[in-house]
Amino acid sequence: MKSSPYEKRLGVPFTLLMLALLALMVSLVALARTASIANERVSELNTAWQAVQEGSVDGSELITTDYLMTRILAPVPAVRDAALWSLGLGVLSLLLLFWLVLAARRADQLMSTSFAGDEQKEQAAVMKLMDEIAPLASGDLRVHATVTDAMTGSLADAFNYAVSELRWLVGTMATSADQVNASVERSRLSAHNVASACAEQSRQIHLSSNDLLSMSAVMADLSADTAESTVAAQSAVDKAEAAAGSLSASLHRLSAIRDEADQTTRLMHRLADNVAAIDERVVNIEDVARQTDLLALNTTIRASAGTRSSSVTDAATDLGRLSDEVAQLAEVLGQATRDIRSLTRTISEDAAQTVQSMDLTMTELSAGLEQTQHASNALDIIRSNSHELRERVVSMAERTVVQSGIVSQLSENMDQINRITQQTAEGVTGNADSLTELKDLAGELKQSLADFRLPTRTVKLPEQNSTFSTARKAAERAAIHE
Amino acid sequence: MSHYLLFDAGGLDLAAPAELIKAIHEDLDVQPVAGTCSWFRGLAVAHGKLLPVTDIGAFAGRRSSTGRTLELEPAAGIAGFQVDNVHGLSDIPISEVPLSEKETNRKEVENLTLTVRAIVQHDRVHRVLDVAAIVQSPAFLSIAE
Repeated sequence: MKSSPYEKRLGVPFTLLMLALLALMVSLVALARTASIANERVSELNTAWQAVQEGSVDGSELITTDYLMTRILAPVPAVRDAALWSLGLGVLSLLLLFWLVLAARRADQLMSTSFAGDEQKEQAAVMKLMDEIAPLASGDLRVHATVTDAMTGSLADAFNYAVSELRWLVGTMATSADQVNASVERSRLSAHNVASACAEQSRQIHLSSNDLLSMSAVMADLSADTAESTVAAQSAVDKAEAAAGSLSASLHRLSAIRDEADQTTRLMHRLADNVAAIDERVVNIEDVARQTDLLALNTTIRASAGTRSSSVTDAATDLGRLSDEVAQLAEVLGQATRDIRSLTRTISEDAAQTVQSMDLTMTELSAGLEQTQHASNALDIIRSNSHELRERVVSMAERTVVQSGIVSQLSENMDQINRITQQTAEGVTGNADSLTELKDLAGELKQSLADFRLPTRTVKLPEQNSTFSTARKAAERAAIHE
Repeated sequence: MSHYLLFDAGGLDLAAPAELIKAIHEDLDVQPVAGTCSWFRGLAVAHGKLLPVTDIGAFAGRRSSTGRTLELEPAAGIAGFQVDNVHGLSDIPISEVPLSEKETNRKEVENLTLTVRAIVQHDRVHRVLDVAAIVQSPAFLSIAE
């Protein structure tokens, strides 16, 4: 840092004065400290002296008082020296102050004689600087101030630096404005696309809503049909349970009928066996009858030939043989008769049991038929209900097919909505990117403006596309900073 | 009054005097004899005596008879006639009924000589056989095959 002649003349006396005042202050502080110590010791001595006057002390305290008297004398030279030093330093300070005043008066006289020539030079430099920066008032940023050794040299240098920064700032702001405009345009187009997509989406959603309403109504009908089908199914189930009960009773009765039929079958087998036995006995009787017929013929032949019989002995023999044969035939006939009577009794009993069994069978058959009739009626009702249920199910199936078509259409609409939504998402994403870019540009612009203190008046920006390009401005700015 | 036994054999309605019939047998055990004619059924035992049995239906050149066997009186000849059915005794007097052409045809009726003497019962004409002549005829006695 370059010091002026005025400062050179006043520097030495000023420095010495400061050092003298500093030493004076140190001396005064030491004097005050020493005086304070002396005061304390005087106070102690005064206390001891009062005790001596009251006669309430012994020898040791007198020794202490003597010691205190000795100690009170120790600070006295220091106080005296400090007072002398303070006095000396005070005198020195006054002398230095006087020297400083004289030096100041002499410096004032020297400065007043050289100020007249320098003022003319500075006024010329200021006028030149004013002429050079005058076009800036009309917005011309191409101005450049000449840097000289005069007082305005540093001002011109600072002015040139500020103008260069202003150029860069204006150029950056113009470029940023162009980019902001482009981003805004893209955002506007994206917004337009989003609006169109949203309108189409709204229309598709409206169509889907109508389809959904139609489907909802049909589904309500289907629900009603389902409820009725449920009632019919429940009725069918009830009838089926009744039919099952009837069939169970029928099965029980049929089981009883089967048992009775088994009993009847056994009786019929016995009856057939007895009939076969009777047939066998009948065959025997027929044989006996034939033999009787033969015997009768032979007897008749013998009788007709008896008149011609030559021997009574032969006739007696023939009659004895005939009697034996008749006795044998009678025995055979008697046995056959007894067997047939026994068989007839057995057959009668079996027939009675068979009739009884058949009666029971008929009773069970009647009950079984009645139960079967009930089951048949229940099955008819079940069949009718099943038919009705089948018709309802067929109707539901047809409606379901229609609903499937509607659902398919709805699915296609939803796909369309999905595609539109994707387009909307892409548009929104584009807007987000544009806004992000806009935000970055705004941050860059803010950072650029924060590095400088701009004047409060509005800066007239140059026409777009007629100023410098970004590369040119960057190159100019780099050159200025170099 | 004479009685006649009415029977049929090989489809022919015949009759024989009852006094020439000793007995009527049923289920007679007949043993065939080898080397004899087909109408000779064989030998049987009746009342402890040997009895040759002849199938009258086959002997007459008709179908074979399978019914009862008529045992002749020994005076008429020791022989037995196997016939189809025995209808019983009849005391209807003998009448003369002309032979039909079929009955006179030797191709229809062999070895038997039918006559006009017959007993008519129940609209059936039973020709009366000459039992002694049959038993003594050469055809009846020639049983060799």
